[in-house]
Amino acid sequence: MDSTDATLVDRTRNGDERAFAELVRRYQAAVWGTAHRLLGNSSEKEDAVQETFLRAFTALGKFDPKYPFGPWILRIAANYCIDQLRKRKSGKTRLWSELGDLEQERLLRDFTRDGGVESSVKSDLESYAEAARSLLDRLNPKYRAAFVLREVEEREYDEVAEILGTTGAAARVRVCRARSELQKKLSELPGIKTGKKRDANENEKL
Amino acid sequence: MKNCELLDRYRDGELNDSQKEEFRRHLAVCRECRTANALLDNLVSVMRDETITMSDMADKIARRAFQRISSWDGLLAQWFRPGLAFATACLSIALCAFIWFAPERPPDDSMEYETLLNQADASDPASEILTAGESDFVLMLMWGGNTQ
Repeated sequence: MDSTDATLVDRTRNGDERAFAELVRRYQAAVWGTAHRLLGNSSEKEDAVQETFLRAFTALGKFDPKYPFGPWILRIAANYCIDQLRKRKSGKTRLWSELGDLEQERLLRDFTRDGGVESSVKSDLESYAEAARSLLDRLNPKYRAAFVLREVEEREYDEVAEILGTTGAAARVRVCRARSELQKKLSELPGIKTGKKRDANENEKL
Repeated sequence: MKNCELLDRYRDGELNDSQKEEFRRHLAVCRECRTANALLDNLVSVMRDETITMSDMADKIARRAFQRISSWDGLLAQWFRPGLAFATACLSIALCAFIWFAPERPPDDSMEYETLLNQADASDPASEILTAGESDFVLMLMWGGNTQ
């Protein structure tokens, strides 16, 4: 019989290890996905998943089962990943990448073309995904998290706000800034034109 | 409304059909918006399609979580160890400070007094005189002052 998350939380609080394992099993894919998109293909990702659930276990007494467990656990995961990204930015950890800078720039050039990725993506999806994450690495960690949750994971702004512990309006601003920052960061790479000039035949006003 | 705001609203699916159609016509002629939109579309599609390899860590994580709280070591680590470590550190510092700065232990006052008194008794000639004087005085009392 399927138990609800609230029941599993309750059983875990009463010392049922199997209930907690079931809770982890339900949400580990979501946590793994978010950690992968925020931290990349590194060993940090596995640590992030473990640490997220261990922190959740310690804080389970504070969790109110009236609210859904998903956003709560993702909030712990996002906080952990954002902290790791900040440490990375401050040089405490170094991002490991299989792709050289030139190779990443070559792949990122394709991102600026309509359908530029789809044509060649089938054969080289992993490299493109890594190049995409290398571009996201240049963002403020908070903007990156908002962008991943909203655009890649297709969550509503309310849920993004709940996971990031902020308001819907602030979450919206972070996503907008991430979008414009991504464009700016890409334009800073050598040999990439992001089309700062309008086409000559643009006369329309919106 | 600015085009950048329209791009955000377009991507968030918040434009009605006619606004959407109008924005698509704009995209056809505005390279900046078209490039921005293509970049975001491509980034998102690659990250969504990527296969994320993961392993089932549920049992391992649950075991670790419960080991932490069930073992005495875990309890000590959670509750007592910080306090004990702090207390031990304080005591060690206090002990070191005491050994380092404390003066040599003074001799026992009562012992010193006794020693000095004995030395005085043994060496003071006055005590012999006093003793002799005492015996003469006793003899004088016994023999009616004729001690010679």
